[in-house]
Amino acid sequence: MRITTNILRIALFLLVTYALKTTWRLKEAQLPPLASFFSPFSGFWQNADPIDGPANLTFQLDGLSEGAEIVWDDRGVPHIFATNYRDAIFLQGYAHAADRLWQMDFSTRAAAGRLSEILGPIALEFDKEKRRRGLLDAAINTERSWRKFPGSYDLLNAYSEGVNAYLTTLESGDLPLEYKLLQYEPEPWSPLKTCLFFKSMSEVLCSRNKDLGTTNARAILGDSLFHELYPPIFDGEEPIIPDEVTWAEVPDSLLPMKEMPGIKEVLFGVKKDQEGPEGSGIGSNNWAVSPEKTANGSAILCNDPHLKLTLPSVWYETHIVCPETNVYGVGFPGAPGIIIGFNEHIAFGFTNSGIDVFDWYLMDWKDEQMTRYQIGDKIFDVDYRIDTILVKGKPPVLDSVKITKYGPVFSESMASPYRGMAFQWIANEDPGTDEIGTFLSLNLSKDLEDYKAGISGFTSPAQNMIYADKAGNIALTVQGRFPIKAYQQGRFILDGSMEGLEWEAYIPDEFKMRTINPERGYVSSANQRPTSEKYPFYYSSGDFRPYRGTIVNLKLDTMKDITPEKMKQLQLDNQSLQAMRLLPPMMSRIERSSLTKKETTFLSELSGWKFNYERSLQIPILFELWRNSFRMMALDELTSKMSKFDVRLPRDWKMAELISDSTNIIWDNLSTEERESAIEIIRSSYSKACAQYDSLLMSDETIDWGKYKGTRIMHLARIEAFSSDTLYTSGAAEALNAIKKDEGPSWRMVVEIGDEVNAWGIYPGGQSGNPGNRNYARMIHDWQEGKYYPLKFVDSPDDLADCRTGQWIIKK
Amino acid sequence: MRKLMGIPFVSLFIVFFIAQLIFGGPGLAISFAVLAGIGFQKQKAWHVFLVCALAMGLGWFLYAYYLDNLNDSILSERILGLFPLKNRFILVLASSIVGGIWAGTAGLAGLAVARMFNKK
Repeated sequence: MRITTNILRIALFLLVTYALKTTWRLKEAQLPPLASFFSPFSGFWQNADPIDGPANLTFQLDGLSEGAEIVWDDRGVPHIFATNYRDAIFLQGYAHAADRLWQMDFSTRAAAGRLSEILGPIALEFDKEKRRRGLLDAAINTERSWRKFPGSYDLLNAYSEGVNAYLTTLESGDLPLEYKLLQYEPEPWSPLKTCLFFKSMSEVLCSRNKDLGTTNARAILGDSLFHELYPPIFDGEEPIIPDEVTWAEVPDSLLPMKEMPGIKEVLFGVKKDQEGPEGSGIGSNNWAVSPEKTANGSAILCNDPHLKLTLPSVWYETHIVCPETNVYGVGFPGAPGIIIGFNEHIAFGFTNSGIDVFDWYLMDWKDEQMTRYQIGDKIFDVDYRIDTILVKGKPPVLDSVKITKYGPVFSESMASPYRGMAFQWIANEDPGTDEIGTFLSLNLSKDLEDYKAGISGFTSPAQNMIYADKAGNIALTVQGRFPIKAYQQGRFILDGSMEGLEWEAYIPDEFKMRTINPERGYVSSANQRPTSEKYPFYYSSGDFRPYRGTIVNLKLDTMKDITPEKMKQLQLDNQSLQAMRLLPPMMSRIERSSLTKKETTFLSELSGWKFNYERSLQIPILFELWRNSFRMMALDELTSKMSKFDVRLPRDWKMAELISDSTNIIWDNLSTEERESAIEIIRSSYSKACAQYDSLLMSDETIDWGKYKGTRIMHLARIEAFSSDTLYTSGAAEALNAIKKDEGPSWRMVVEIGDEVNAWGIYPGGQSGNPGNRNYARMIHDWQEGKYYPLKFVDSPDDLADCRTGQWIIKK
Repeated sequence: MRKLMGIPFVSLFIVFFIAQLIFGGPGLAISFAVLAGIGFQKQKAWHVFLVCALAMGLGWFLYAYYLDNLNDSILSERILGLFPLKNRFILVLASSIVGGIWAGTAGLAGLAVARMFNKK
């Protein structure tokens, strides 16, 4: 009996030990072993950072050439004071790691297709897709290429050394919370990881293309109607580069084929994830105004890149002071230097260029196994790349990727619309230039010539790089590498069996799309088409967006005595040109006498609306409902196929124009005997929208635009508990304040660059990546309310006395 | 029981606390709890369980409470979203119960081992 009791007691202990050291599932989450997670000595409680901010510390770091100092301000921004640029970059790596280590690690593992290593089989398909896109191979090639530029590469190494210096100080209790939840540990940083980060940004910014949807739309509509509905540039659309810029004659040797290359006139089935009617809201605004237009005679530069909003935020604010420069702004955790910011001489920023640099080729396979393909009259064998994917808790998985002359074969699955297609993508090409040096040299630039030289090596993702300086110059360059293409090449899925479609040459520098000090007194970009059709080379839209670029020009044209305050208001402007162009013609076609009482009331509310997506208004909801039902009905030829096919719809810009052409074939509803006109479509879509709107108001009378939109910022690994609450925001996809449900201005910056430099900024997140730190989500509320923080651009640590929360004295 | 709640309890509390403060994880403290069970073989089993559980649980409770206060409960509010727990005090208490139960059963196991090898 006694022995049995004792055995039971030992068994109880073993059972409890097993239970506390085993992973459990709760709700949708996989919980780590409870004993180590709940222990206040090593578990999550160790991530409860003191509310007072970082402690004052003095410590030594190997790798610094001289002593340095980091002062942390009251928002958690590190102000790095170093005796040389290399040490400053080293400490930037250290600060990034101290605040954002898990984010840096996770995002680069994702880019490399290595999430299965930490998440298990659930991430296997994700990893396979990343590897098929070739991000890891591209990063390896790019890193090799960057090695040829020892100056920049040394700084890249300094950054890695800084990250790794922080890693050596880490004990298990100090690990970021996500490591404890997902139960893995960080690995050393390297320049390759920074390359991977840039490749993942390329994927976000320049792999977007609508080739499949465009090909399908053309196959459905026929060539003539397609070209009417999808013009390369809209009437009244403002390109980035004003027409006053002239271009050189194109030498014959650079002229591409005159004939349109093979276009597949087929419908590519099996619907992939269908985007909304106007696609993703990722985009950005930037503009700079010359001293002649400002109140105090200094140039002002503004930039707000719109990206997927996440926690931790994609951006990290840093201030670097060293003999070579005094530079402030935001950068990417994982990359050295300031990406969008300013120094004592210049300010700089970016928006994404939507030029299509991702082409699809339907291969002419000669066997069912897709091992041989034909181009022209030649037969080629595919090459293979074998990927070994490590999977947590399972044996490794081997995935063979077929490589053609154009690039990798994206999918062999019957379930994919891209089955048997290969792709060519600029991010997979060897840059052969000092690409990483772009940002590092911009940080040191003093004038226009430095800016032009600094950005010249940047190839992808192509950016609209804006500039202003204390001398009053303003400039904007569409910087990137763009293949020379024949007319319409790359706009559709290409016939991979045709010769001459492989990219062979790139648009030379003398045809660079750039404007410097234009007569109108400002430069601007917002992801629209970069030039008018006068530009001598053909390029197609990966994702050009016409509205914001045009409305910002309309507003800047009329502004004078501009102040930073006016520029902030412009960034926060909620008026949409899309609504301004579409709503009046729609309303003008409504026959009032046919409306019900409610419909009449709603119409009168719409007619009083100033096209403003203010969060407290209800009426933008009605317009959006009407716009959607109008598009679905008017474009029934296309929308009826959307459940089976990926179909690109025309933009509202064109739809607004077509309303005056009331008998255009597009208005005919295919499901009825009669031939409808625009009037019937507008009327019936209005009734439908009114019914939806009325029912929405009945179910929640407090509903308004902010509530309806329901903006929310999710954690990077989509952990609900670490995400934001639902926010209450104004703005819309086509307003300058382009806040959507989970995308929007990821950093708002206004810089007045004169003899005195004044700057303001904010992003929706916080400096710390630790959900247990007061700076994790600290700025979200103020961002939502449209507030800005003055950026503490100082010369010495003493100037930060009023906002200092911690000081690190670092010895070499 | 009174005997155990005096100096032995305080000693265990200090030993457990310092062991974890120095070594981070609870492994060493649990080993000490097993040893304590061996040392307390003449005591009633539930007394041994209780003293080990309380010595460990109190340490976890106090330290977690301290860290939570320094942090103004920012982290505990986030962690509550991962568990079906209502407020931060329950989260602190849950932590101490996890540590307490483990140390308590470790003490019992030590006691059982000692009694199996000591037939007197």
